[in-house]
Amino acid sequence: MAGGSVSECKEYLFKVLVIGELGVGKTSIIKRYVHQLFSQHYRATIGVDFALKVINWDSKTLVRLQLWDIAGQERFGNMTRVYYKEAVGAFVVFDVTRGSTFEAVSKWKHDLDSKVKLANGNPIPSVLLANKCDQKKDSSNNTPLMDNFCKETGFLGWFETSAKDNINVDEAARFLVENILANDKGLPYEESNGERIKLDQETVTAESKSGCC
Amino acid sequence: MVNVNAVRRLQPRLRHVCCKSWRRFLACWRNATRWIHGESLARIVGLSLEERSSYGEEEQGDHPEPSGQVTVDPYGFERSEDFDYESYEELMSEYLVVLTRRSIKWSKLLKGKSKVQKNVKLKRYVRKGIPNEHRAAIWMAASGAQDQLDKNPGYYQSLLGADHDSKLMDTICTDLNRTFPDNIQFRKTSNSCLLKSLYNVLLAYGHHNPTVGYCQGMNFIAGYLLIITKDEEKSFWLMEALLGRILPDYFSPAMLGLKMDQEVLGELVRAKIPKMWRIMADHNVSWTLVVSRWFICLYIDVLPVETVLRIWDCLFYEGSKILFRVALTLIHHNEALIQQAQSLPDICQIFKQITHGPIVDNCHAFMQRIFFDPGSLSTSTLTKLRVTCRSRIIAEES
Repeated sequence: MAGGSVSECKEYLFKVLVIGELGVGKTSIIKRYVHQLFSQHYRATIGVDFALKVINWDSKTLVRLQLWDIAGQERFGNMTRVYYKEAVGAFVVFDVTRGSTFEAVSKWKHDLDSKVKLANGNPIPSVLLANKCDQKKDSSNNTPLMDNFCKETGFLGWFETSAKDNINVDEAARFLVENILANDKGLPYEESNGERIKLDQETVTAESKSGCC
Repeated sequence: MVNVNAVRRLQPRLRHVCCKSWRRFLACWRNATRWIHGESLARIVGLSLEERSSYGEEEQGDHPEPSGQVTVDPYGFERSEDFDYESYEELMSEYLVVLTRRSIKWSKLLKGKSKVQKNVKLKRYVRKGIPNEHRAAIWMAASGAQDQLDKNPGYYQSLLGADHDSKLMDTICTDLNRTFPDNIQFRKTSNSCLLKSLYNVLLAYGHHNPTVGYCQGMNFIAGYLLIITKDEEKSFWLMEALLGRILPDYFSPAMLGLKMDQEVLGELVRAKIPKMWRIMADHNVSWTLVVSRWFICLYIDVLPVETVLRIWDCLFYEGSKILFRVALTLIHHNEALIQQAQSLPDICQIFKQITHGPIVDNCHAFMQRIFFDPGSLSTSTLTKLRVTCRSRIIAEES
């Protein structure tokens, strides 16, 4: 910074999908991450809902995450191809207290990869969330198993999360965004899948000033 | 006599409606106290507290009303912390007059009749709102659900007694507590808990129609039916009328009817509000993104409860065309707002926003609007559009 050579602030808009079986806690994770809230009283999500989270990634980077909360029932999946368009990252969520929701993870991952790809043809980065870990009954360590599962299924990694107790939600999001950014930087501008808006320093300063009043 | 004095002091419009009979007034009052606290009501209609309490003592025995505001609506939904009681009471002071007048008219219409005939007069009555005390019966009669129930005695019970698919049972269970967590009747702790009934109605329907089984959204519909009918078997047959006859195939696995109606709405917007259609096209917004909940939930959890019930009055009587009238009115009324949208997220946000506010809170005025604002919408136009859109979707998917 001392050199004063940085004259540009980058702003990114990333569309991230949150998918998984019904009742695994997709809405809760999003509400926790975006509004720092948890409630036992969320209604089932119908169709799709979405929320926006702004992250001051570093002094030069602003990231706007558009989180798409997609209904978990399979038949809605037939309608949701349109929701997947232009997504650059995804969370696949399952509920650690219901084995069947983990069994469905591969199906969700496969569905994701078939519906959306990065411009270079690679699958979009995705992270697996083992949610409701506050209610986990057995304390056995299945880390090696899960690591292996992620490798085989093509997830970047996995996190045990609890939207209720605020465990690992921020960490998981940070991990995913890091990977999305790395993808974005690795690609020439034209091929980049994320919408990128370049602003010079002046514009940003003006914007933040007006934001103060 | 306190009675005469009390009626005399009523707000003039209400007096006009109630003055014919004290008994009638008391019935209206009892009904109205479901909506707002007696003290607010007394203030609105112009009664003194003494008059109100003297009525309260003779009619309700010694059940003192809770003091302060009514935090739960007449259907058991908790009001949010930021609920605007002042605007609500202002609105209700108008609407109570309507409710009272309608209630009297309906009582007269139904007096001594065991069956109602569908005719122009009844249609007009339905559009002006079915009083809550007659709602279940009129829905049952108008939709044909009553006929089905009469023709199939014991059928509902036999569905419950059958062997059920475990996947169906699991899926329904997952959504039970996520149906109306903000309604006191849908909590395990409630005395008259409706959760078991909700489970039964959904299970029975899923068994009755295995192609549809259970689809999210049906939980909300069954929940509303139970709130209104307070009867599982009636709720089941109303569900059967909706899914089997009134609506196209919204809930089947392919959801073809839903996709079709979303497209039809797009076409209607294109014809009636072309500017709006252009904006949606410019921002590349597909209709499913913004209106799928409107159709799947039949406006539950989208519009205010009372407005939804008024829409359903017409839905059961006139059919699914009403859903388009509502959608077109919402879009038409908010044209200027939607035009300001800069991006797809903006549009999604605005479509959420337009289902709130005074225009939809005032259900009576809103219902008048939907038959006026969107202009003519003939059944033959709708049928043609549905045929076109359905074949277009089938062609695109194959």
